[in-house]
Amino acid sequence: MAQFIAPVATITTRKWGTRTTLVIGIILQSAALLGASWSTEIWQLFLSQAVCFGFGMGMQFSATVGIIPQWFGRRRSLANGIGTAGSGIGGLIYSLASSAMIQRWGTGWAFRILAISSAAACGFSAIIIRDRNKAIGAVQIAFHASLLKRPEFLLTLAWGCFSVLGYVALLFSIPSYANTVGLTVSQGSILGAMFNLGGGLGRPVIGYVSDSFGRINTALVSTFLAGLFSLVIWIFAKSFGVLIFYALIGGAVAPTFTTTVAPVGTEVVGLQLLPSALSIFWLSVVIPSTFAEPIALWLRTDNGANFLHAQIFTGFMYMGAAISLWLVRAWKISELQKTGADGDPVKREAEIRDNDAVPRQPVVARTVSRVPSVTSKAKAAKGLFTVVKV
Amino acid sequence: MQLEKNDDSSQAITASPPGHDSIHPSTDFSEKTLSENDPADDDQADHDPADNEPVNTDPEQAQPPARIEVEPPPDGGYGWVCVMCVFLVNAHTWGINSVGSRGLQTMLDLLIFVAISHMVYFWHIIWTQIHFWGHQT
Repeated sequence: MAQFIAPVATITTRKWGTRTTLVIGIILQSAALLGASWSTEIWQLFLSQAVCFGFGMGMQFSATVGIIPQWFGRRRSLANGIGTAGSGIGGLIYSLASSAMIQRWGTGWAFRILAISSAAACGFSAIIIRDRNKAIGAVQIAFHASLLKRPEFLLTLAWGCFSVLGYVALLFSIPSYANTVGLTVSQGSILGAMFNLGGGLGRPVIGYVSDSFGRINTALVSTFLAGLFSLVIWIFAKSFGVLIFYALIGGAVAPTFTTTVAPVGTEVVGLQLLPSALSIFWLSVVIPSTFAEPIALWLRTDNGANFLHAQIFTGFMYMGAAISLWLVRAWKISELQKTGADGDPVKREAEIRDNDAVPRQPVVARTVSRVPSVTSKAKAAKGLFTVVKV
Repeated sequence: MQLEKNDDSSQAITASPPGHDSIHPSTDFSEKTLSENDPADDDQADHDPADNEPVNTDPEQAQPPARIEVEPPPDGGYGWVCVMCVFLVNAHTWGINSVGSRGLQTMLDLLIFVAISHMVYFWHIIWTQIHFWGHQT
């Protein structure tokens, strides 16, 4: 639901601005929470929570996700990591606070308090946030179909879709897995909190590393690690301690795509096209995120007690995501080599605009000058194994 | 393909300075040199003025670049305020999402699962029927 609204949010951002989009989202979200607090029938809860809350959240998320890259160049990923860490920290605080509130005041007032606090915080943000869409000449098209003709963009979408399949299957399986290996309910909630804490602490770290190590490189490594951890740690995690360890490090790398999609997208399509690209990106992950949970459920064997197939599925989805991003990286390297070789002025200006794309390393120039007449295919294959900051 | 493009751009760059030197005496020449330049870089027409700008010192000849001039990102300043805003928005959307609708989400999954398992079950029945009739005939 949340991703489904992304094109609408792109259009309203173009027509009425970021602030109006945020306000629409806040109204929808508060209405959903208030409606849930007064609902008596199950369909009312379904309508308010699943539909209204999802739309409100999607509006706010789509309106804000592209703003940080517009403000930062050199420290883009760090700033983006700090901004997205909010979801981990917020999840941690709300998971602890909501159970206390429900115990003390009941479900109805817990929902109302959630509505008031979220409306206050998001309303405050909506007032003081400022985008630079005009300053950079952003292209905000809800469905920019010509982007789909670019193979590198399609590979980025494949990275997103595979990551979403793995991530949703993981999030969905972890609580019932905790039950299956014999953890109590409170241990299960601690596990969920650790997962959020890992996300909250891990994302700024990933962002900081990303700025010096390269955005695509870091996203590639973290996606690969997310797959590796689920294959080599999660499968063998039977005790509470090991699961906590997995939740902390897995929570840091598992949501890599939500943390790095804006910086990586900027590397792939450029800063101006980023809003249009993100719109398509969120729309295209709707289908995998819907199907990941039934798949994960279906893969459980022995009456839902054996998670091995679901774990392997998660791991290999992340591996597939890493391979897609690896190809994107090869494309980016070959593109940088091209600009290094013939000095195409459009690209050069794009690099000036987006100063991260400048091939600072002399390695690029050297490899190009050594092999000036290889075919583009050989160059692309070489790009798979070139060590360079991208 | 790549080499050809390379040739084109280098030709355009080397060809343009003499063209602009010869522009100064009369305007007729400028028309001629422009049209002569055109086929060489027809696909790079929109960035040609920007490319020539450093070479050309005459303000009359320097075409203003068509696209918007983009200043680099401030890399801080008010950006950190925006980071805080995005942090708050994420905390109060994803944070609530991760706890608020857990029970409902599970119910929705169960509904989807029941639907899919029914589909699988009926498909299985149809499949076995087809096999059964296939063996019969």
